[in-house]
Amino acid sequence: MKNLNEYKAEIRRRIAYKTNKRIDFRKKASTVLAIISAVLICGAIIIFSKKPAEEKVVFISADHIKTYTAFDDLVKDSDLIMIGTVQNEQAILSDPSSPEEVMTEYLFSIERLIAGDCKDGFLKVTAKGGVVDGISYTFKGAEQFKVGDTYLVFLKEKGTGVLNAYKENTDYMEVSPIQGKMQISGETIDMADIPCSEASNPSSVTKIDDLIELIQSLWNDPSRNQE
Amino acid sequence: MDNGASSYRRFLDGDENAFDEIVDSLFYNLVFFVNGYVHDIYAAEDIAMDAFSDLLANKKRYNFKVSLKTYVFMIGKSKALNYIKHNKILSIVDFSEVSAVTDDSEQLEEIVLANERKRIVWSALEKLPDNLQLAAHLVFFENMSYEEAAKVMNRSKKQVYNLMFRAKKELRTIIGEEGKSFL
Repeated sequence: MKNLNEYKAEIRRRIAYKTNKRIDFRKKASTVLAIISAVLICGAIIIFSKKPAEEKVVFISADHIKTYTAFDDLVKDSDLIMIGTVQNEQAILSDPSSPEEVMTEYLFSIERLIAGDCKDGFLKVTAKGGVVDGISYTFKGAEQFKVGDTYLVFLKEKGTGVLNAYKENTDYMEVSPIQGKMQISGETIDMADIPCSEASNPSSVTKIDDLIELIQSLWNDPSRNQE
Repeated sequence: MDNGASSYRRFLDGDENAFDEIVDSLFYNLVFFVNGYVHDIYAAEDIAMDAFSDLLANKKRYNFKVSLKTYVFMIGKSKALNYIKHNKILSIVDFSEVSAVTDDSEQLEEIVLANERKRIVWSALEKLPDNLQLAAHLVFFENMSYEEAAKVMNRSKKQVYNLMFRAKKELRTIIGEEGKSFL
């Protein structure tokens, strides 16, 4: 055994070493914390100062699109009216040099057939517009169908212009890219979603079932067939 | 008796004599205690010095809720167990070193077990199982209360009471009738 004073000297040496080590550690830790804080602050500044990338939208001319002012006109022009969910989409004519030529084919599963005949549970619907190379081609005021969403759609067998040229390959086309569809979510409907001008809107309708009933009564109206 | 707490307070206030008092009163006992775990006097010395340097370098760690002696023994025990954990592989000791080690161990025993009574109890204590030996060591040789011993051993007071009951019973058998007065 050593003399107790030798142990004391060694203990003092160790205390000094541990104290210095702790001071060094604190210095290093505060330096690292300062660096991390600086990096986090810079990162936050960069992230928050960056504006979200704006999706480029090219509008298609809507000059030739018929504007419906009365809801019954929309029903009269339709060959099939249904509630369906978009299962798939595929651009079929995608010439970005001519926005008029951009079309998309949507595969709908029919949730509810409101008017017209359809043997299958699925429908191919071709609509003008679509997304090509990250650029959205659309009519002003119109929304593109989205996969997974459910819509009430007014459809016709014969389209106009480029759509008509494609009619052999599809089942139906939209009556109107702007007014021929309304998104459905839940059992009630927002009046703002119902197409046509406010004056002729069926303002008493607040439920989908009521709207369907209205469409079917308009569909079965003898004056529709006379025209 | 505050078992060194007042010395530690004075040490914190910058009294250098307090450092000497703390080391003088506890160092050899701690080495002896740690040696009971590691069975290597040099390692025990090293661990004890490390325990003291920890105590005195980290001034805010000791909160005075237990006696200083109990706290130092708790550090010592923890470091001894760490040492055992990290030295599980048997080390080869040069035979020439063995006698020196033995000499130092005996010298330490002489310092700590200063009187004959303690020596008799100690030699009997070595025959007890580890946990009984540890409890009896802390109570008989370090004069710790059951509560303090429980803190060092990381057991409840009741468990230490039970261990001591068994230790005393076995020690009486080992030491014999004449040793009853020691316990």
